Amino acid sequence: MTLKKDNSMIKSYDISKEKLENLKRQKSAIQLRKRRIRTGLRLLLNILVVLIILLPLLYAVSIAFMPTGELFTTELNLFPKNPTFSNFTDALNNIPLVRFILNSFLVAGCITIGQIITCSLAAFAFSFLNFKAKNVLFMIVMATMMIPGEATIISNYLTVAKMGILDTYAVLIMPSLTSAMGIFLFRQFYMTFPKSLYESAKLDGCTNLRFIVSILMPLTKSAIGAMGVYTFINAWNMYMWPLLVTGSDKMRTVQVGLSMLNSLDSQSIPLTIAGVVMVILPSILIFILGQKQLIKGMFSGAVKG
Amino acid sequence: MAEIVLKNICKKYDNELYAVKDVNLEIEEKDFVILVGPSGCGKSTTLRMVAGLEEISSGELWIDGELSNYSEPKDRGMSMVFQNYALYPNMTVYGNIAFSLKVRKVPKNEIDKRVHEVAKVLEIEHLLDRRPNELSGGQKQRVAIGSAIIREPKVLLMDEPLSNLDAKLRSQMRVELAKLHHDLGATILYVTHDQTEAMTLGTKIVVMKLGIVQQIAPPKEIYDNPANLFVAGFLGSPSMNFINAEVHMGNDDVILYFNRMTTGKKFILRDEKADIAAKKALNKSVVLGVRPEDVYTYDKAKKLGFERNTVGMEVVIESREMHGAHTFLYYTVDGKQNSICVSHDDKTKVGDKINIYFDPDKIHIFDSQTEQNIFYKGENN
Repeated sequence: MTLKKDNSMIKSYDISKEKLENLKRQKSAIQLRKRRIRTGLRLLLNILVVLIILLPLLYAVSIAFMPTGELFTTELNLFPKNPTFSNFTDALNNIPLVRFILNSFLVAGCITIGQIITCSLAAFAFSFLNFKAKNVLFMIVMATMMIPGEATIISNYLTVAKMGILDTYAVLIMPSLTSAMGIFLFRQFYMTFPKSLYESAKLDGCTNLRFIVSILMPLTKSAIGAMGVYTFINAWNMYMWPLLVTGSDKMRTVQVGLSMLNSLDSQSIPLTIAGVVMVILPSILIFILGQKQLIKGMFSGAVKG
Repeated sequence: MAEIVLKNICKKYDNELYAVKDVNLEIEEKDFVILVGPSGCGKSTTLRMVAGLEEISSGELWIDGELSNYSEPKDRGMSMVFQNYALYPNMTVYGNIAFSLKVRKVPKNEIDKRVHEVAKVLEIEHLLDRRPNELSGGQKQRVAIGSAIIREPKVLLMDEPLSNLDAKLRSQMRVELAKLHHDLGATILYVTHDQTEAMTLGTKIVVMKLGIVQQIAPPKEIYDNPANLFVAGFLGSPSMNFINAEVHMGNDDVILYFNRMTTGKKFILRDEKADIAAKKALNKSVVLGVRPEDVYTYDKAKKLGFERNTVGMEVVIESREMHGAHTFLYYTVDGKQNSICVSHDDKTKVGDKINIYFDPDKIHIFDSQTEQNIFYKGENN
């Protein structure tokens, strides 16, 4: 049998060309409508859920614009009737909020960069180098995650007090310069790389530090991103430690500073909330910007992709 | 001049077991030395000790007359091609090839010139801007070789470089490796478990088993003159025929009796081999070893004049394999599968009973106890 170029061999249904076109158009239109309805429903559901979840946040934003009198009424005021910026300006005038925000940025930034450096170095050692008691050491590092921060806070305080660095940036930054969580995260990443990569670099004459900087770090950008966002938000939200070790307005961070709004003689909830809204903005921004990295980083160790 | 000498090299792990024991090896300039053996025989460990990736437990490693046990991997002047290529995923092909020179702070234009030279030799010039994950297996392999040869190492180490490739690509790369070795005049130490690679590429083969070197010799030598049963069985495909036998005298002849003398199956040795067997293995139980291509059917044996030497070896053909130029017929003796190599137009069918004849000049006799080849004449013969 010879092969035929046309497809006359294929069984054909008796149907005219026009009819076939019509049929195709009809079917595709039905399909399209179905798909649109499905997408629309899904979108609606999503918006509903988001509204429920964000309600406290949105309500807070709304309160920030209310005059004080409007909040304490028997009616439900979801939206300000006479929106005002005075809460924001008052908050900025009553306490040095800008200074607090700058302090927090500096502290959180230093902690983030510091953690990325120390954690990647430690994780490199735990995954690529061979030394005695490597696993025991790693387990000890992991075990520190089980000790709550509150348990060590007093002894830490006594230590830094003796060092005479109370009420400085150093005391805010230093205790958080490394984290077991970060070491673990990076190590999990590094373990996915074949060891021959390191050996090859070693034969190429590459030093350990250079291997980390020019090969490991570029390959773990997403882990670094995830870790960065996570650490920054944690550092930004620190409360207990800054409260304990800082006394002056110059060194105070935002979270501590905010509580000052609350304890002023005239207790104004909208004023406090206006401060809070200003302070959470950076966290939200960072989260939105780093969201992709965060999700990629948190899961790429777990699922091979 | 690159000359590597391994003297009594051992690798011992914590559990007191030797992974590699007393390896003595001399690698001369332009040698293509192949370490071959089944998995777990210590061949990769040996290679890694030479590279400096594993510590040497005892023994000496001399590189160009310098004791190098303790020198850093980067100072040994070697480069290595890994089984999984070990390309840096974040760099382009160009970056990968150039990396070792960049680390050594070679000037940029010099790097550029050499990268292009190497890329030209390996025919990967058009791939220089791509990243490793955009390459096929064969291309990755070339890049890995490129980044290994660019700094003109004293010795090029290769750890099963072809085992991740598919069969066709592997045979193609094999040819190219041989060409590369010839063109560059590089000294290569190569690890594989594939005996075809060993036989086709090597100028010197090191057969290892359980951490111990069994034999070191050129491919032909190792094929024709295996030191022991293991080497004989490991190299060659299909493997050598092995038949249990006993050596006795009968009518002034030295005779191998199969099956305890009862069935009348026997093989009469002649010439020098008879003398050696009489001297070394008389009244001992031995294993007769003979390659499939040295086993003949009656017609051929008669033509070659040794049809009288084999008596009563009637076997049943159990399967037949066409390999193009040759056909292999398989049969079983003593529960071991053996084979004969016949020409492709042979008409023997599965189930046929045929008599087989061994070439008396090509046989090997292994002592059953020591497994040594009694005809083996030592390394420098």
